[in-house]
Amino acid sequence: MIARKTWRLVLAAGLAAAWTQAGAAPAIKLGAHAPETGSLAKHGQEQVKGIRVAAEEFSKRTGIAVDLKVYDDESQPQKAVAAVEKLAGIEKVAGIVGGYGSNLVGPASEAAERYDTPYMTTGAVDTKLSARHFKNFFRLNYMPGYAAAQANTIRELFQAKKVAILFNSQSATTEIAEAVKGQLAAGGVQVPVFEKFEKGTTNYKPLLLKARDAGCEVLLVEGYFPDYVGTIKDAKILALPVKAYVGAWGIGTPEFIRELGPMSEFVYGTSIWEMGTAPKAARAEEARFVEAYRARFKEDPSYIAMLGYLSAEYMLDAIAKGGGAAARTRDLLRAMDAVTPIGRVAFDEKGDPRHFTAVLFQTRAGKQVVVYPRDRAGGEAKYPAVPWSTR
Amino acid sequence: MRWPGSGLRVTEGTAAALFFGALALLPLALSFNPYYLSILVAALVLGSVAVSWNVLAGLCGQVSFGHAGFFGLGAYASAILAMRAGWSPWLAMAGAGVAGVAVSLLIGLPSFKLRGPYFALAILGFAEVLKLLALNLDSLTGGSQGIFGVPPPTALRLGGLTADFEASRTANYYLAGLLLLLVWGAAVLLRRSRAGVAMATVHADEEAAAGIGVPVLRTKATALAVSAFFTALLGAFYAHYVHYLDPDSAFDGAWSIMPIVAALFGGMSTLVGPAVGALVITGLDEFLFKRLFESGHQLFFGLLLAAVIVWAPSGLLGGRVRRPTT
Repeated sequence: MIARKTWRLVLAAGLAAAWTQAGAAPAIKLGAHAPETGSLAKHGQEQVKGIRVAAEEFSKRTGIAVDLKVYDDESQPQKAVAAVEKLAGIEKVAGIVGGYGSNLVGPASEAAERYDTPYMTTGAVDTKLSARHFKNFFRLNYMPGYAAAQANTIRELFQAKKVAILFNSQSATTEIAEAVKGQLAAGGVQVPVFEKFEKGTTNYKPLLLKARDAGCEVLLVEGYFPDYVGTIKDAKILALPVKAYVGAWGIGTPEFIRELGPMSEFVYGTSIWEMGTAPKAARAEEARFVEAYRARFKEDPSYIAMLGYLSAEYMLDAIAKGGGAAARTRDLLRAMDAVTPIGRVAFDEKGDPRHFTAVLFQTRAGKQVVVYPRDRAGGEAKYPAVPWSTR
Repeated sequence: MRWPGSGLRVTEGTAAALFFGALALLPLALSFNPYYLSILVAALVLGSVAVSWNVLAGLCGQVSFGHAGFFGLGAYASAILAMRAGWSPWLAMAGAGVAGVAVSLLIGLPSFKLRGPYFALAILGFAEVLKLLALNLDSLTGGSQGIFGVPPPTALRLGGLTADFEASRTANYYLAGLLLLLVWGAAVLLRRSRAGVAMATVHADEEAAAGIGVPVLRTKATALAVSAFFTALLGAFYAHYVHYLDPDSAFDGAWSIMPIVAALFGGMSTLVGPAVGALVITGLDEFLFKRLFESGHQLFFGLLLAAVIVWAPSGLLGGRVRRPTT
């Protein structure tokens, strides 16, 4: 009697389990690789945080479990290839997101193409990456979009005639400098000073004097944090008579404002996203992400985390809708057209974002006020800025 | 501390035969899985550079902190010869090795005339100079943007077998293994030669060596040239394997530091030790530590290295392999 009862219980439990299994959608296997260690670790870790939030939010929203496989590529090209070999070859993921730096994304996306696995990156802006016409390659941001924010602001808002461009010899800064120069020249703006400097430069005065002597109205510095600190301090010493100082990445951060104090005021910088800069149609999504991120990591998200989040969200949506087949995922990604926290997202036939534009902001009273593009602007640009002697 | 079984001692030849035999069979054991093979390729490249570095440091006693310079030089030289001059990648790789020798003599001959740590400092600076050249010779090197699409070595056909280096990890694995065998074989031949005896003498006591008529400068230059040739050759292989080059990855300081770590780990007193060290540290990091800690795995690796230095200062193989008498 007892044995029969036990058998019935086991059978009932088995049937219940089978029913549950049949009713639940299978988990989606998503791969992610990022430099969580090595020289690019800071960026890679932020990217992965955003991806994790996307996987959790997707599961909550759809009820579909996400089996997220994360691989640290150690900021090494060889390991980036190994990452894809593992994720696509062993884990059999339905799509891969992540990758930071063109030197890692280049070889990794080549491996993803070999495995016919959709690959979406948010950290590689080199135009040559998409020139390979890989069918599985997608990215949310690329260089012309950064350059456009600077060049369009200079042309449309500032209406400047002469611009000086100083740029760090690193890959991304060289490329944005060349792209902006080209866009300015196409718009009839002269660039009489176009000077490269090496990482670690401490004396920028000779370059700044060239800008002064050429009568440049705008100084564009395509560099990194130490370059901004050096050029701004030297510009103040020389009382450089430019009407605007525009930088690339890392302007307006708390560290930047702390280091430069009043000198950080009225400086312009570019970003893909900062809190509160989403277009109206995407404000709700922005708020959801920020809330989930804060709850998970007890800190505010960076734009790198936002990009990681969005890339994973789009990849998961496409995999879920398409059933996981690579061709279907690719088609769905190529067909998407949405207004997102970083603006309108749609991909062209090479996988580049059709409408990507960074935002240009000005630091005012320690806050970042977006001044371009107009549909994401939070205020008017203060142009010309006040002289260096008063800040 | 005595390592378990530390009483067991084998000759260097036996250790090398076991090591290379295991390397030959490893892909079979791993079912030719591309992921495992790609990790092993990375380990073999590191191992070959470590053995090359040890030709200079282990045989001749000259420590270099700038082998990234030769590695990056070889990578760029081969990529440029193949893509701009139209050379076959195989010929370009050999040409890269020759470029390594030429540049090593340029830097070695003046700096070896100095005593003390000047060579180590000079070669460190030299690596940085080469990186800056790669960054600034835009028309030749692509500058900071790097070079995309470096071609793989052309496929080899042996009977009915084709080694396709573009897509096959197995082909690349065996090529990397052969390069390691070549580097190790050259190091063995060098050690047995008159030049090798001179190197051992210089290593033991430079002044005494000069006193008994050993041409110290020529001996050091020979060790550096051999070391540079193979490091540049491996840099060339790397470029044709990854298909992409930029100054940051080609001249990455890791190519100077990690070969030293591998050599210390495996045992600098042997020629095969650095290669074993490279495989062990790469394997442990990838297959054990990384699984335990996704982003903190290199901490274990550092602890392990510290443990080896403290408790087994002659490295994993140092106390187990009998060195041949010279």
